[in-house]
Amino acid sequence: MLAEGFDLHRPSSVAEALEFAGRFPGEFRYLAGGTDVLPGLFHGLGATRHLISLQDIAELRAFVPEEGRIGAMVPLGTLAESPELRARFPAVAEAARQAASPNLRNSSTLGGNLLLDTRCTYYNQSAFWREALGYCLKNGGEECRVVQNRERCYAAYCGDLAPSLLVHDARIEVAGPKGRHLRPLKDLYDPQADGRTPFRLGPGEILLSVSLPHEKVRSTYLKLRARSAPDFPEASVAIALTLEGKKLRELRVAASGVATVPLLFEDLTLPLIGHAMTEEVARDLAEKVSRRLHPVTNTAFPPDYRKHVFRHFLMSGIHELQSGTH
Amino acid sequence: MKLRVNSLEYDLAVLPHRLLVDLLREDLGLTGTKRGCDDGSCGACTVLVDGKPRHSCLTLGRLVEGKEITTIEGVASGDGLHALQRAFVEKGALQCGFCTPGMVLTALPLLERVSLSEEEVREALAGNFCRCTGYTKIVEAVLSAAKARGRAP
Ligand SMILES: Cc1cc2nc3c(=O)[nH]c(=O)nc-3n(C[C@H](O)[C@H](O)[C@H](O)COP(=O)(O)OP(=O)(O)OC[C@H]3O[C@@H](n4cnc5c(N)ncnc54)[C@H](O)[C@@H]3O)c2cc1C
Ligand code: SF4
Ligand code: FES
Ligand code: FES
Repeated sequence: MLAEGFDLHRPSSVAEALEFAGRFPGEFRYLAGGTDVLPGLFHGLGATRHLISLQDIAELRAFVPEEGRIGAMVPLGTLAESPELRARFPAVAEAARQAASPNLRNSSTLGGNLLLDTRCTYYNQSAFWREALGYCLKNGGEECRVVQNRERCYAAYCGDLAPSLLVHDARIEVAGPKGRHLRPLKDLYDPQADGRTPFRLGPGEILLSVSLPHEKVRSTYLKLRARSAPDFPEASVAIALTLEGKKLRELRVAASGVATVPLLFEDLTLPLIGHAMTEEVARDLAEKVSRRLHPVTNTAFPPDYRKHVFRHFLMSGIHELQSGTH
Repeated sequence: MKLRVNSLEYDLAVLPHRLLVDLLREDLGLTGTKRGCDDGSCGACTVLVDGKPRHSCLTLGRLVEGKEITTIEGVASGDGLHALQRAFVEKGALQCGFCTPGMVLTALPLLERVSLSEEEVREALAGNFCRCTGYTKIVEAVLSAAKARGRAP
């Protein structure tokens, strides 16, 4: 049972959705598959006066895997089952296959996944639980429960798709009151972001689609979770790697579940392009990347363990892509 | 609005906050659909929406207007159980029965596949929790129903 008190709108075009958004400034949320919004509302999180459903906007459901174009409202199940996507962008198909649970993936959309609210064991709890302990920063309180402080929230971004799309150099198309524009997906996420405001998306802006470049890149996605469904990533890594002879032509690494946003480590991987990927180079990279991760005690597994597994995933993923088992 | 459930059309007044699970259980009296966790983690509330398993606890009633809903009450025909339901009974794939409607509705579309392996069944049912049987018998039941149709080894 959800609490009463919101209106539901069903625009049939992007323009109409933006019009609704303009009419209710600060008092609306977009609703895609609802698998993040509705559990939140059930527990009294993210309440709003107006839900604007994107379900009837045909444009957002376009899916052209051979061209690497995915509408924001395409369900994760469609991505998981697409042979074309798996052939061209393996990490993306694999991340979709490991997200949530099979039935949830029939509702969960790509757009909702990229904008999934950050999570924390002190926040994603019932209203009774949160009130009993006293609200934390993300819930309008004064203090963080995980890292004793009054300024910063450390809630973790736990979407599965973002890292896989980041290593494939994805771009997003966004529509807002001022029109439409394309930008790199990585600009949606500020690595220094606070857990309360993780995304760089203007008021009313709608994520329309994701596009992936054509060139063939090998990639993989590895995810740590307690059960094979429906658990969120405790730590996950996406890797894209292409060799030219023995030398690296392309290498990108991204992570989820270990910070307030998904992280892409371009500054650490760019210097390796043109060099050989040896065991030592891989170990050194894994070491440097994992020093950048600062998971805190707000998911199911302890931070050290998440980092440890991450390092292992990164090394074995690189190994797998190099040995061409993909 | 009009809601189509198990091939019957109902005329209902639906407020924006009403979830599909509430409409089914409270307004239509179809209590075969269970509510376990209310937040998408258990699968007990699974129904088919246009043939695909979805969580009725995470579905706003208004947003399934015009779609075909199948609940566990619509799986059997007349007095006879569906072959999949019979397989659940024969294999002892239920104890308290709370998870069973969700299990059956999640497994039902699998029987349409050209072939079905044990691993595929396990993967498809991974988001449906059973607190009694331990899954082995549930997987056996689904495979035996698929086998009866010549879809599984
Ligand atoms: C039990 C359970 C387990 C889960 N496990 C996982 C998991 O393992 N991995 C994982 O990644 N996720 C998981 N999820 C979360 C969720 O199912 C997915 O992240 C899903 O992809 C979210 O998409 P949605 O369409 O349901 O989003 P919604 O809930 O509809 O929306 C999420 C957010 O995005 C905004 N939004 C959505 N679309 C747009 C758009 N086009 N433009 C602008 N804003 C938009 C909404 O306003 C909202 O703030 C789980 C959820 C549950 C309930
Ligand atoms: S990290 Fe701290 S402020 Fe953020 S949700 Fe958790 S307890 Fe609250
Ligand atoms: S009640 Fe819907 S998934 Fe548990
Ligand atoms: S039979 Fe009791 S929960 Fe599955």
